[in-house]
Amino acid sequence: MNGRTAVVGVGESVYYRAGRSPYTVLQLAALAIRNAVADAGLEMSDIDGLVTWATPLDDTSTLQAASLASWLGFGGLSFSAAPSSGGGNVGAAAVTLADAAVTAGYAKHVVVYRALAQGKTRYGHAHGGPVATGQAAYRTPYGLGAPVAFNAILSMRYMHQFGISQDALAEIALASYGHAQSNPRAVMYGRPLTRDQYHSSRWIAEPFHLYDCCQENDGACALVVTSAERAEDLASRPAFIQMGVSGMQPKGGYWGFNDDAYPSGRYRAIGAELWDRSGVRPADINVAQFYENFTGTTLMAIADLGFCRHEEVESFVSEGRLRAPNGGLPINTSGGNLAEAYIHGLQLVVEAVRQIRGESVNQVPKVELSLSVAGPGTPPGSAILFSSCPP
Amino acid sequence: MTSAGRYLPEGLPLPEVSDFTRAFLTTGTLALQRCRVCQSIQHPPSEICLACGGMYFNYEPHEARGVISSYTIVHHVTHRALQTSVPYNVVVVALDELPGIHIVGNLIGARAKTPTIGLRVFGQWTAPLECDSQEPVRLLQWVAA
Repeated sequence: MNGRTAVVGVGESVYYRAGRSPYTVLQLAALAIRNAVADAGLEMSDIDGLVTWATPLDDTSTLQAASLASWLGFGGLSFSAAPSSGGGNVGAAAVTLADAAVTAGYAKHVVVYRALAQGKTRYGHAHGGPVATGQAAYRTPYGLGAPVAFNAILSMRYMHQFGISQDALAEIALASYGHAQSNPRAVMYGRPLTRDQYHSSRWIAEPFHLYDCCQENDGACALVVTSAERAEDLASRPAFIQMGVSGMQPKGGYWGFNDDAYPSGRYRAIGAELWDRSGVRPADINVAQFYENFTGTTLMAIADLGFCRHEEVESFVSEGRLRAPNGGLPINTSGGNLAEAYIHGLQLVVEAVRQIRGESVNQVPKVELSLSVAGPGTPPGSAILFSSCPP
Repeated sequence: MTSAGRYLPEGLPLPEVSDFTRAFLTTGTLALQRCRVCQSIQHPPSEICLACGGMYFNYEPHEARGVISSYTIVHHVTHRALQTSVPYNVVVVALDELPGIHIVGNLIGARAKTPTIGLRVFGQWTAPLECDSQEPVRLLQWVAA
């Protein structure tokens, strides 16, 4: 934090539609890590730390840190960790964990990666056997087992309560699809979306149309974190980690539409902590990546973080504010989860770094502060703020 | 209390019966979990009281009446058992008697295709639903008042 560490390398595999990867999940991880380490100008033997995460639905071989470190030829594995309750909510927290390890001196060069191959188990479905347990017991028996369905209910209430129309959801989708048209890496490259296409696309779960929902993909991406001092000796332009935050509001970790945050993205605490600890204000942010599992939760996160009030969110996102390069608050500038690829949101952190380096496919001019916000809706959430300025 | 058939098909998972969920799932009454230490009511039931950390509970019946706080109509098949059931509704009901307590269920009857936020509803339990591995459960469904 406070610029004492930096991301010095980013990389990814090719991004595929779910089930289309010719590579295993560990091969995808290895491809992304090789690209990130080469981008940093480092040797594999320099790497001594690894952070990743997986959900209970994943092929857990993605967590085989020791195997990866051996195959890739790391110098050691002084630090190896995963954030808790791994969903899209921890994408920024994973990078913060690397920041903490480097700051504390437990490792010198930490790789953060996320690899997905959803061919076997698709996140978009309900899971489990004939008996639903835990929190799923209160939703799956009623047909609310898949994330799209319970996020739809949350968004329906949010839109009703704050007077938000379908066009506000469209703005999120149109920003992501629009930005993806300049990004050859994006799975939806060459497939532009119009407002009419958005509104006439089929319902998935009301108020979500097809284009309100993220993709399911196979692929991997990776970042390399090191100290600001070591970053000075490397060829790449460092993206200094100004602040990482992770958290939840009191008693906000319990599912059921019954906590005080209903209906919202449960990100008020993240925003409060981010602005308080960094001394930065929302208006200072030049460009932001907001995890879109579904467009509705992205709207909530924008307001939860204090970019506007909930009542104002529709006018805030209208009239091109979210579009690069000069919209005011360009978001999801590589195409986001909706149109680049869904690598559980870690690819959004990669894009936040590229904006600092001036290497985005939709570069925003003069970026000093670049924010990436991980998946709203599921606590504990996380966000990470990059700065172009050394400490 | 009258009972009705299950709105969604057999084959969709049933909720697990545990010491904490048995009253809500098997009695055919809206039996909610009340902490014996601080008297707070919480739903869904869980092992630990959110208000005070207590671990001992009573389960007391409440009136199953309220308004629809939110809903969705699901059109996409997300579970193999739902193949021929789409589109179907899911509602969140805010209880009249207990502000802040919301309960997930399905709306049955004449308004099943047209739920609206604010619609007044009352609860109706399914007949006991058999499941091989555990005691039968009754699901709470909702009807426009």
